[in-house]
Amino acid sequence: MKGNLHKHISLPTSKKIVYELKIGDIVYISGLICTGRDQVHKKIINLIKDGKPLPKNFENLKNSAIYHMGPIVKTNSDGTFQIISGGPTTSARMNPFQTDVCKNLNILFVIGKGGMQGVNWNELPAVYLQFPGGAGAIVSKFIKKVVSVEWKELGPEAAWFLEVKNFGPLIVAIDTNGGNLYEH
Amino acid sequence: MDRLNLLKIIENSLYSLISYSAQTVTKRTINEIEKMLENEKKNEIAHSQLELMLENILYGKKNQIPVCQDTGLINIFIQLGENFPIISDFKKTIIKILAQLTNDSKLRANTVDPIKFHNPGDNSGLNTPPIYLELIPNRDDLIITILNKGGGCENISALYMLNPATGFEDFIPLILNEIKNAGGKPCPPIIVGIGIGGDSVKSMYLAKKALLRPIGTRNRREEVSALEKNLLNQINALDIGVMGLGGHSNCIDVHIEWAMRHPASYPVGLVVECYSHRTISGRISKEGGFFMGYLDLNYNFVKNEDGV
Repeated sequence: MKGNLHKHISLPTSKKIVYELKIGDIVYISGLICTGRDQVHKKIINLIKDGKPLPKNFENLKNSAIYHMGPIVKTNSDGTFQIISGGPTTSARMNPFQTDVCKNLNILFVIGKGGMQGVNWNELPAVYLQFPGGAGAIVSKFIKKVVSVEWKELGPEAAWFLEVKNFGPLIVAIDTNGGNLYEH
Repeated sequence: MDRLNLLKIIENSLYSLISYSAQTVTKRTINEIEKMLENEKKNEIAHSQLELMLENILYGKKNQIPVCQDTGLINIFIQLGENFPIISDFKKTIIKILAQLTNDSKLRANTVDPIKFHNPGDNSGLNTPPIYLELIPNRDDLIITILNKGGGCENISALYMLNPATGFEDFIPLILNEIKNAGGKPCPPIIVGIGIGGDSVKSMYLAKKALLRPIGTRNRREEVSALEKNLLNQINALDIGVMGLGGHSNCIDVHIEWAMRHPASYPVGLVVECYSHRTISGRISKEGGFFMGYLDLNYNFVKNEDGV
């Protein structure tokens, strides 16, 4: 494992950056990201299958990131939302959906924990970024704003669009060259 | 103390216990993570993950917010003294407090209808939360223990109904295999609870209950205690590592409980807990006194202002 490049990435970014990242590199992400767990992934896939349009907001994720996370959300008195705690959930649950979701939304970064199987990272291209599971409280520091939410009825499982600043350290745990920190 | 006032004290105690629990990883767990941090000095990835975990635990505690966004299914273990004056309205009170805590952003809305996938948004619904009630003779107090059981680690639970002739030898490789295959999913370093014997439900119950014992304590029975130590070593010899990223900081502790079994059955239950081990106990006296603490090796309440 020879990496340990420390890099700040502003989203949206380029495929070139994604190809350059190697396992073990540390990145910090700023910009718009969106949360998605089983339900969001399944809904996206079903809409695409049925030839129906996705909510407009998802277009903003082009060359950005999806974050496997279901937050604790506080609704403020003015109706705005605040993320109280928001660490990653187990990514493996999204294994069957991830490739299609990334392909259709042009996602370059998948943020989660525990790793994934059955995703062709090189072909997409995309990389997998790991943040420690359970570290939810500290993530609230990096979330500057809840920009919007789709499928709010899903509660913590909804698609929360978040503006993050210097979210990290995120470890590149699966890269586009077949590098995978979970295989050892 | 009259019934209404005592019920109010139970309500307030539940609110304090559950909000505290979601914000607090037990002291003994933190100590073990700190030891692992020391041991993983040369493994940069493991070291950085452990560092972040500890930083997060401090951050949650300091800012009084849930350390992990997955505040779990709130497992509630109740030891009810047979002479405690109130034995009705418990469940109603628990459901009310869970809704309040969810509304106050102290808990995530974590109950979902398994058929229609609807989330009521207040941790309510049929057969929830899991409440485990024990009646304790010759006692006049109430002990409530909270365990925040997250989904990622709970998904590694297993029940083995083994052949009694070989059950005792067979279950160790089965459990090692289960844990190895789980890799980073249950958020290692994990804590392992095992129940041997009883029936299917009892073995699973004991596996979960075993997680309430303080980290570092061993079963009273010598053979079982030896088995705990042996399994702890074997799990840490697997190549899993912190969050599945490689190394040997896999397991914080193994706790085993046992029960007499049917001659034809050899059930073994496995319940896995993540490193974010959140449990706290409270004692309410019949006079309305409330004390926070933890359960000891024998699941007896011990008062401790700081928790454990």
